[in-house]
Amino acid sequence: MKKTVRLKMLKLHKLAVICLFAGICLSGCSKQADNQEKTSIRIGVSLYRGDDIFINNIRSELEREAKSYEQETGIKVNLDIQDAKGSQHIQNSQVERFISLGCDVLCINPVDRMDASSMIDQAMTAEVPVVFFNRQPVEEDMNRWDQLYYLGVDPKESGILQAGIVEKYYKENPEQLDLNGNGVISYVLLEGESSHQDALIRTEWSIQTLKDRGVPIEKITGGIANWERSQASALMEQWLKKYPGEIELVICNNDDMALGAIDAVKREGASGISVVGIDGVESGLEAVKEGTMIGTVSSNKEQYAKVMFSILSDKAMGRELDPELELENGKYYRCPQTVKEQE
Amino acid sequence: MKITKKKKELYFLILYEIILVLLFLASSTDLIIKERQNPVYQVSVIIGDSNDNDYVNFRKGMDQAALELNADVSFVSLYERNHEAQQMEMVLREQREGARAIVLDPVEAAQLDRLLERGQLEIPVILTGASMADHKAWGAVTTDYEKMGRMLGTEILNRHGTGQTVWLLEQGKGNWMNRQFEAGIQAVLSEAGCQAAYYNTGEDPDLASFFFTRKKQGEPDLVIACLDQESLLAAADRLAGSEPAWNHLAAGLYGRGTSVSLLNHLEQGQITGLCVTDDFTAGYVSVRTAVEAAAGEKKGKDTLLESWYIEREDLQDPAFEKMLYPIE
Repeated sequence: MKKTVRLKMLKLHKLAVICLFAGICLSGCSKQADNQEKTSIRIGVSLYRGDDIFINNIRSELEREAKSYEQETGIKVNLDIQDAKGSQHIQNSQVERFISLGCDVLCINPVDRMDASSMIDQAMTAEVPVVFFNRQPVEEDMNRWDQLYYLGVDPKESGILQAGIVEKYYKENPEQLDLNGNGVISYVLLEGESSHQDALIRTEWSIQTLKDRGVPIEKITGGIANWERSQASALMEQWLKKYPGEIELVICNNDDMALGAIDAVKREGASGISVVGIDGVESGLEAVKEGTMIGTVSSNKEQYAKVMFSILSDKAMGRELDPELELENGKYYRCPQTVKEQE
Repeated sequence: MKITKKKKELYFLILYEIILVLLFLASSTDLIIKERQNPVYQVSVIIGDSNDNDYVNFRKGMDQAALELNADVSFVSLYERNHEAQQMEMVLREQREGARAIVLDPVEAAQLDRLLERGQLEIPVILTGASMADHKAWGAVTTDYEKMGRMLGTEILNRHGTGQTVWLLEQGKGNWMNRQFEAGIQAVLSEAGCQAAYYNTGEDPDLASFFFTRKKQGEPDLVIACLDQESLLAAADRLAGSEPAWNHLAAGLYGRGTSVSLLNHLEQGQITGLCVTDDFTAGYVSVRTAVEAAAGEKKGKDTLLESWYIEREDLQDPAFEKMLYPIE
């Protein structure tokens, strides 16, 4: 009697082990089948503001990358691009919606880099990887999960390269920058948002590098124009009225604000004022070509979008990232930058 | 029979437990109170262009409808602009990928009819920029372009009189919208005895040759009505170009469209008058119609949206400002 019970128990154990093994095999197979059968990927993209020129340039490049990926692989890319209109609340809702619609991966340009934790929470719960870009979430947030990535340019490098443009221009044409010939370049500064890490670092390194390299500069005034052309234009107009004939150089944290300053200079009929920007957006490069801007620091937007899409598509397909991709600490990518100056 | 205190307590406990179970069922399951079904309708919007530059307001309306009506909307542009076969391939791909309805701005609507005739397309299609009266689609959200053309023709006559030849410019082979628009303009001009001449930009997409020839022939006060957005933008770019002698070559440049570049040219004065539509509403209504179709409602009809003629000063009008630059 005892023997029969023991036999029965043994059979049951065997059956359980077989079932467990079969279960593991089947789940593995179905996962493999999932990957093999994936004919489309869905990427939720949330932009901090849809009217930012630099962000729009990146967006266009990303769309181009998605199309060429579709043509190369035959895998449909559903790029759901939404504008958060400068509201973190709206962006949080967009992330919630992306997840509910089954996005495979998220691509977020955060409105408030200090407030990314709620979006990260949602993504972690749903196990949806996130690629942040242009506005870097704080390190504590980035370190919370190994499926978080960040792409952007190195703001310190931007500042140093911008200073290099001014330095070179000053050495070649000192009279073009020092208009009154007093041996000092009087400048005004147009800065991006105070909460954006790039604005602070670009300013710091641009000014410090100019001083370190012996370019004689003196600040007249400065203001925050939130990366916007219209705000920069309004500020510059005020300064031109307040300091007539004094401003010799306008240092801007981005091209859009530089273009705003140029608008004001044209409107006020001022002449000889040099303007320098950062970003290398199309309109900025056009201004350099036309000679209204002395130069800009241009990030390679094609490369930016290429790397971003490569991470997004690999994550969406459940693949390992391209081993040739060099990521700092396994999650940060800094896009290369070059200088574009007047010829 | 007397119920003892102990039994009373037991009955009370059982009743209490039953109430608890009922409350749990009511709140956590849909056994008692059925949860309202809220299906998500997958809708694909396929345009004939390779980018969305001319669809900015349309997309805003589309996104608004998607949020309000719980639709999952995919916006699809082509790899190459105006590629008929590619567009039909996209239509079939979206069907394969699970779209329940398609909003289509057709490059050639007859191609769609062929797909529907062959039974290759089983989901409802809502046309924009074409009338369903001529096609087999489920519905259409469009504008009366013939009426729009008549409106423009009248404005041209009011400003320039009948003594001037009106040049009708078009890029490429054109489409239903262009033909309707042209018919409207021509009808008004011929009723008034005004002459019209047609020019297809063809090999002269930036219109250099057109303007050069007219200038050489001594026609300085050209009146131009463009049938499509592409030729209008090319003409406006040419007039805004670096050759000052050409800046005043046209006495009047007219057309239709709502893209930012066209509105900028209107503001800067290269374009004299523009026929505009409410693209935000068009996007919203298109997706709403697609959701209705996906939900199994009976076949729709043409939804005709209004159009307006505006000039530079109208851009300051709050009503047009809100319509042409919607913030949502």
